[in-house]
Amino acid sequence: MAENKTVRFIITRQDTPDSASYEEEFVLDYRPGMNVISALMEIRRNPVNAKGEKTTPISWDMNCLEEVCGACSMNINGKPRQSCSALVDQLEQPIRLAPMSTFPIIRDLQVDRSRMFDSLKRVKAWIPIDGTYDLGPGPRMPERKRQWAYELSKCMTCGVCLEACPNVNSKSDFIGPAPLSQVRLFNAHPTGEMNKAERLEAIMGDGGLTNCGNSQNCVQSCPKGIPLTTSIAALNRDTSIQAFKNFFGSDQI
Amino acid sequence: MTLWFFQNFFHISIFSVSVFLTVPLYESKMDLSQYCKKCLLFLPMERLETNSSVFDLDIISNYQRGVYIMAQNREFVWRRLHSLLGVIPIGVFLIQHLVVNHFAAISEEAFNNAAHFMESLPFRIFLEVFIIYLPILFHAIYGIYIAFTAKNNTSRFGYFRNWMFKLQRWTGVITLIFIAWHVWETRIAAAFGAEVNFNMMADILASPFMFAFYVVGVLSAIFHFANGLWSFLVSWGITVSPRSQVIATYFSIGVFVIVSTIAIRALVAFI
Ligand code: HEM
Ligand code: SF4
Ligand code: FES
Repeated sequence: MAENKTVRFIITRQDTPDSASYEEEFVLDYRPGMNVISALMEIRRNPVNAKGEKTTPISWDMNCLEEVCGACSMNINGKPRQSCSALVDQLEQPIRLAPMSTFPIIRDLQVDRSRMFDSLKRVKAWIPIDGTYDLGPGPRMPERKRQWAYELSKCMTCGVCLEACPNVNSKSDFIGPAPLSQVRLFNAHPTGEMNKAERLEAIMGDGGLTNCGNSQNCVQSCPKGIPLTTSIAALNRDTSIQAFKNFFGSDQI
Repeated sequence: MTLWFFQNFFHISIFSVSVFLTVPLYESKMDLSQYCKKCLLFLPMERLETNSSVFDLDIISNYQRGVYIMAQNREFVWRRLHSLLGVIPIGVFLIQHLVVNHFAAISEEAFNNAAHFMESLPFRIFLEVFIIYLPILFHAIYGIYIAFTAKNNTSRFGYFRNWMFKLQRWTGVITLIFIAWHVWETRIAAAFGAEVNFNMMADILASPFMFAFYVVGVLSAIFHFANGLWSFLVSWGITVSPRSQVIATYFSIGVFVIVSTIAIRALVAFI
């Protein structure tokens, strides 16, 4: 074990949102247990590329470092995933890092996920509880249902499912699987259910639910194991009923 | 008995298709772009856009909101119509067409009789326009649009359903090319006086190239229909659980195998 083990990275970089992208290669000393983010930090400490030239540190997003915030998603060896939980030991070398192509690039591996947050607003992914006076406690949620809903609530808006979806691209306005599944989550809540129709109607709008073409890549890719395609199919059923009510009329609001 | 079935079946289909064709047409006559999204009052839109995350929608009825949704956001209606037409009437027509063709596997005379029976159905042109031409035209045009708004990524995500997604789009395009040629060669030729019968098909399929073209075209239409049935069940929220979707996959494979056997037997019978 005389010579040091090294790790090779090929990183797709881009200096400004509009400039052309280029690849830069880095060779780092191997350390046991290192992950993609610790490697990026190492490059930041000593920004020298594989040719020995001094370069700029790489820009990327991160926050929790434990796969719960979703900020650090990028394409690692072609697959979108969180860089904080991507262990170098488990990756094939050279390790290729690229920004997720579905989102506007800010710089290097850093992307702008605003469209997801806008979609969450659009589908009203919250529970309205504010009134001009204290509205009192809401209805109780059965424990079994709470446990089930907890799985849906794990979504961290990481964008992996949008990156994996063939129908989310520059040619379509599809909002993608994540905000759809949130509609199912909030419609399942006993208080949230009171605004069920509005959320369903929001996803019946342009760019909404019907844009799903069932490639089912999202459910295969979601790092949180959220049953996205089950959510989509369930919402298809709910919107079928909602459309029926809207068109033929209903004695309920 | 058979005659009764066909006559009534066609009338029922015509009725349901006309209803579904009229809904979006009726809605599209209303221009609601000038109206407030929430209450359908005539108000400038910009002022309302700025505070759109409101929950005071309950003051208007579901019906009003529904009218708004359908008039303003038509994609939902178009997409569901596209999905429905793929099964009723296009899918039903496809099966019926292939079953009639299969008479060729029995005898030349049986085929000619069956074809003649179909030709002599009452209101033939009306049936053709409303059950075949218009639905296929709509489904194909909108289908091309859908197919070309996708960015296939099977090389990065080689999952089974992603392949089916891609094949659904490819077979749609192949089927369109095939149908255009097939209609030109048979129905349009018939309009110019050619007689559509066993001999006509035997002539066409005598060429090995055309035989291969027909096999590819017919198989792609059947694949598209069988896999389309699977996604139809999801699109309308019939198969929700993963298990029901897996069973539907087996079902759609079964449909593909059985219908393909019927179709290929008929094609082979012409040579
Ligand atoms: C033999 C004629 C055809 C039949 C029986 C047929 C049937 C179907 C069915 C049942 C579906 C499933 C609907 C759904 O997903 O809910 C479908 C989907 C589709 N069809 Fe067709 N179709 C035919 C021709 C075409 C043609 C000519 C095109 C043109 C490209 C086309 C393009 C599509 C596309 C892109 C979809 C996928 C829609 C989606 O996943 O959202 N189809 N078709
Ligand atoms: S649903 Fe899963 S993949 Fe999609 S944004 Fe949420 S956590 Fe990420
Ligand atoms: S830094 Fe939060 S998920 Fe990776």
